Amino acid sequence: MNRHMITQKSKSHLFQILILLAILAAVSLLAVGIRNIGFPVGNIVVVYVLSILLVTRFTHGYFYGILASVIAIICYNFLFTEPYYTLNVYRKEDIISIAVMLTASILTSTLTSKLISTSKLSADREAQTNMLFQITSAIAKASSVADVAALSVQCLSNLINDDVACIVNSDSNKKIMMYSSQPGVSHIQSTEIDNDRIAQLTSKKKIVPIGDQSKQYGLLCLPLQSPSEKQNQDGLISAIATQILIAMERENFSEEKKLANMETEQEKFRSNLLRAISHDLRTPLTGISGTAELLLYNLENEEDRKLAEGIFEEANWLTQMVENILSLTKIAEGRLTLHKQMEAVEEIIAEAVKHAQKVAGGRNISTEIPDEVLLVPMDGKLILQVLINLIDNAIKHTDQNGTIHIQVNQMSGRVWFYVSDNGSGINQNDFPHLFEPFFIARNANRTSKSGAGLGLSIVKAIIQAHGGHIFAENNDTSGAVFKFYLPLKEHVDDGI
Amino acid sequence: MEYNASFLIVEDDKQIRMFISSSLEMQKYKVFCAVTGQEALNMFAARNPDVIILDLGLPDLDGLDIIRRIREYSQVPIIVVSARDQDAEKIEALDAGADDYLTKPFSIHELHARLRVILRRKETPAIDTATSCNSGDLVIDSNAHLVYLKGKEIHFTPFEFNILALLVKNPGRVMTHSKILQTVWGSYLESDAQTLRVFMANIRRKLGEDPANPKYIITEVGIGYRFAEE
Repeated sequence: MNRHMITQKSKSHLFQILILLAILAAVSLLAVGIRNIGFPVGNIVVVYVLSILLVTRFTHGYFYGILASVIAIICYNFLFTEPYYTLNVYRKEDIISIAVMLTASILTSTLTSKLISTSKLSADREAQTNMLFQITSAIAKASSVADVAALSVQCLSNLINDDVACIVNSDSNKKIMMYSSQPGVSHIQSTEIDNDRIAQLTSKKKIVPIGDQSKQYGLLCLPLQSPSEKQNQDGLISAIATQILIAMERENFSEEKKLANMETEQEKFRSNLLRAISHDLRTPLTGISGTAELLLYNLENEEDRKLAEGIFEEANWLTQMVENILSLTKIAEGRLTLHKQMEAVEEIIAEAVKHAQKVAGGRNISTEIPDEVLLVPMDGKLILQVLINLIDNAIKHTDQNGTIHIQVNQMSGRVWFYVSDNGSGINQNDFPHLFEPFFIARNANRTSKSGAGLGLSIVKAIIQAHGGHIFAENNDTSGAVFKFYLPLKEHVDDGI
Repeated sequence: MEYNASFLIVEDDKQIRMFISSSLEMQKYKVFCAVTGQEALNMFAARNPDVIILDLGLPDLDGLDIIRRIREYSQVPIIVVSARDQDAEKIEALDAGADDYLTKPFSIHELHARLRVILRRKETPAIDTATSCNSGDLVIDSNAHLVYLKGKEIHFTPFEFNILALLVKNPGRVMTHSKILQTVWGSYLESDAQTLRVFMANIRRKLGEDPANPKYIITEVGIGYRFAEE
């Protein structure tokens, strides 16, 4: 490529020198004719100055003009000053005329060549402005980042009449798309490409990154330019890259906004659906359990009462199940929102115990909590649910006259809660699975209705959301201990 | 329970309406039923029941609106019924003037216990701030700002006394955190709830309560407190 350019350049030098020599030869012939006719020599000077003008017009740069001026002077001196056909000058007026002619020639050539280069520069500038305008107006209509890339590649390719490629980082799945365009054909390819293809595309090309500190949208691959063009085009290309970046940022922003809107809609839909489902399940369940309870206390026949009791228990179990599934759905969707406040541990324990006493049967429930009031940042409702689930679990694994002990203490920035029982304990094989959803321990009390194995997984999720941790172990004697801690100091959204 | 008391059940689900009304009729109470909010307002005006049992999720009117409209001209006790995950609505209903709440599914035992408390409160004349009130071993003299437990005087700070007096004057009734703070402090900030818990812990200790098994002041987690009647 470089060699090709160099030979082209030397060819053009040769060509220009030929033009120069031809013009000067023609003018010299004309001047000889003029002299032979007998016109004054002054006319010949004018004719030579004209020739310099012509040379400057048909060649590029100061060099040829000055060269032509020097050659013209030599010709003039050689042909038209005495002694003829030598480079000597005898007469004073000839020296003056040569000096005048040289000055006039050089001035003419430099002025003309300056004029030509200025007009060329302004034509270039106009073309660049036009190019920038075309690209800007084209990508203004784009409807996506990929669209921006396609339109700018097409536009650039048409304007510079060469291959242009744009590699776009697509965030959705980190695949990269490529747009390439051939001049004249206006052929746009949009394909996923791999690293090899990127290396192939970017080698021996001018690479212009499109992006800023925060985000890289892609790369623009342009043909390499000659050093002389480089100066002019660098500014233009960086201006174009900025325009492309602005357009891509605009599209990216609008896509993000669209996506956010869609997510909000989906979220709304999901939570409405959950709300509707939970309402539609709870209402009939309330009817069933209430009616069964009413029958339970009013039926005379023992057989009938047993039936009503069955309905009552099943309905309650189903209600518990619905609540657990709703909780788990919330957790799974990451919608478990904590309403943290500084809660007094004793109040939460008291509520849990109140609940436990309703369902404990003959079991003995004891508590051991610190004397001073202990305030812990937590979502009171959820930690209450944790304790209730753990107590229910203990009830499930103990017999009618078992004991359940609830203990709270404070240790090095953590508040520990213990729920221990004297039941059957935890089977060694069950330890790894205890907190998995849908896991049911082998030795669960078969006489009571067993759950779907959701309780402990909900417990774990709630505690983890609080920044705490839960552990399960067996007592020294018999039975299981579930202990968990909550961090004592944590940022609480209490508005201070 | 007291004879002849009448109840208005506002509930759009037929089965729930039925078992509540049957359970009350079995105890020889008079029961009126309304399916919609509008019907409830009309029925209330026409029948003047002693207690309203109000489901918050009605098809036509917002339960809160019904409470506010009734409270414009009547102090009839209202028990609201709502789902478990509608705490915000419960609190709003209580602040709007509801007396108590039940969470679905609720047991008939629970409902009847709450109704008994409300009827008893209705029976006894409203506690005047000037008079003293007794609740078992606890005697509170609002006038003299004195508290006696088993005949022995206990010292309470003014804030503690005001909180306790507010709860005792509304036995069985759930007082939300914001209601207590607004009454005692005159303002309510989320951050004050923490202070309220400390006050409550002190009050309980002065009353000689077992914190894990309180007898007088019952916590309604996430909602407020109520003074237990027996």
